[in-house]
Amino acid sequence: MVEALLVASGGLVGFAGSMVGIGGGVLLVPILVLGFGVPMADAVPVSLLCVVAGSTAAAGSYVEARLADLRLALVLEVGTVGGAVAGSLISSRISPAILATAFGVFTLGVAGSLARPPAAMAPGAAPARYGLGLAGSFLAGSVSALLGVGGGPIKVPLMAYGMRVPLRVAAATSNLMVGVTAAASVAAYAARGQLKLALAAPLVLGALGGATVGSRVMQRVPNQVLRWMLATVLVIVSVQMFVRGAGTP
Amino acid sequence: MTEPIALDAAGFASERAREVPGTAWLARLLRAGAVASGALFLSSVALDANARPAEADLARKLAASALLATPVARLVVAGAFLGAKGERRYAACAVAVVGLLALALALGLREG
Repeated sequence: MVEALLVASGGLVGFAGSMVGIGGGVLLVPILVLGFGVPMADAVPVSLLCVVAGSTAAAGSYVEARLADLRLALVLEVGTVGGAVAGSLISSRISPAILATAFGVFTLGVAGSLARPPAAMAPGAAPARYGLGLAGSFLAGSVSALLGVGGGPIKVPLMAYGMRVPLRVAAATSNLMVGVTAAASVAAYAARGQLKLALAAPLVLGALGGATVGSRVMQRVPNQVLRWMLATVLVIVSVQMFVRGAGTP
Repeated sequence: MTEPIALDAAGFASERAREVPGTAWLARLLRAGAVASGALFLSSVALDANARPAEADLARKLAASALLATPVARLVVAGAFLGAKGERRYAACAVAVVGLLALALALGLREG
C-alpha cells in the first residue's frame, strides 16, 4: 500500500514538474516529510533523483517535438552550474533564513506577474537579452545550491518574460536543464552514501510515468493553463520559503 | 548566441525551437536512458518481492547510474553534434558545463 502511494506521489510530481519545467523536488520533499514521515536528510536526495527521472522522461518528447531549445539550454546551463558552484562556496556566509524569506518574496512577486501573459514574440525572432538570461541563471544556480530548491521557478519566468522565449519552450528548456544540475547534486549525495535507493525505486517509477504523460499533455493545453499551473507552484514554493525563513535560526 | 526560435503564428502549435543536428538521436538517447532506468528499477522491485535483496540492490544501483548518466550524456552529445556542424561556441558551452559539473561534484564530496 505504501509503495503504491509512493508511486502515485512520484507520478503526480513527475506530471506537474514536466508540465511547467520546475523539476518537482519542491513539491516532493514536503510530501515525503509530512506525508510519509521520511527524514529531510533522506527526502532531499531522493526527490532530486526523481527530478532527474522526470526531466529525462519528458526531455525525449520535448527534444523530438522541438519544444526544448538545446542551444539556449547549453548557454544558460553555464550560468546555472557556475552559480551552483559559487553558491556552494559562499553557503556558510549567508543566513538561510534571510535568503529563504527573500526568495519567498521574489517567487510570490513572480507568481503575481504571471497573471499577465508574456509579450508576444515576432515570427523568427531570437531570444532576447542573453546577458540577463546568463545573470538570472547564475542567480538560479546559486539559490539552488543555497536553499536546495531547483532553479526552475526562476528560469522559466526569466526565459518567458525576460528573454521573450515562448512560455511552452521556456518550460521545456528548463525541464531539460534541471536534469543536469540535479544529476550533479544526486551524484554527490550518492557518493557520500546519503541516497536511499530502496525508497527512491517506487518514486522514480512514478516520476518516469508521470513525466511521460505530462510531456504529452503539456503540448496540448493552452498557455493560460500553463501560466496558472506555474503560478500555483510558485505560491507553494513561496509558502515553503516563508515557513523555512520563520523556522530557521 | 542569437539563434532564432521559429514562430509562424500566435497559436501554441507554432511554438518550436530551431532544429538541432542529431535531434532524433538525442531524443532516442534520452528515451533509452529513461526506459533502461525504469526497467532496472522495476526489476529491483520484483527481486525484492522474491526475497533476493542483493540482486535488487545491484539493480537499483545500475538503474540510478543509468539515470544520472543520461542528462550528462545528452549534454555531451548535443555539444558534439553542434560542434561538428561548426557551431563551436555551443560545443565550448557543453565542455564548460561538464567541467563545472565535475567541480560541483568535487565540492559536494568535499562538503560531505
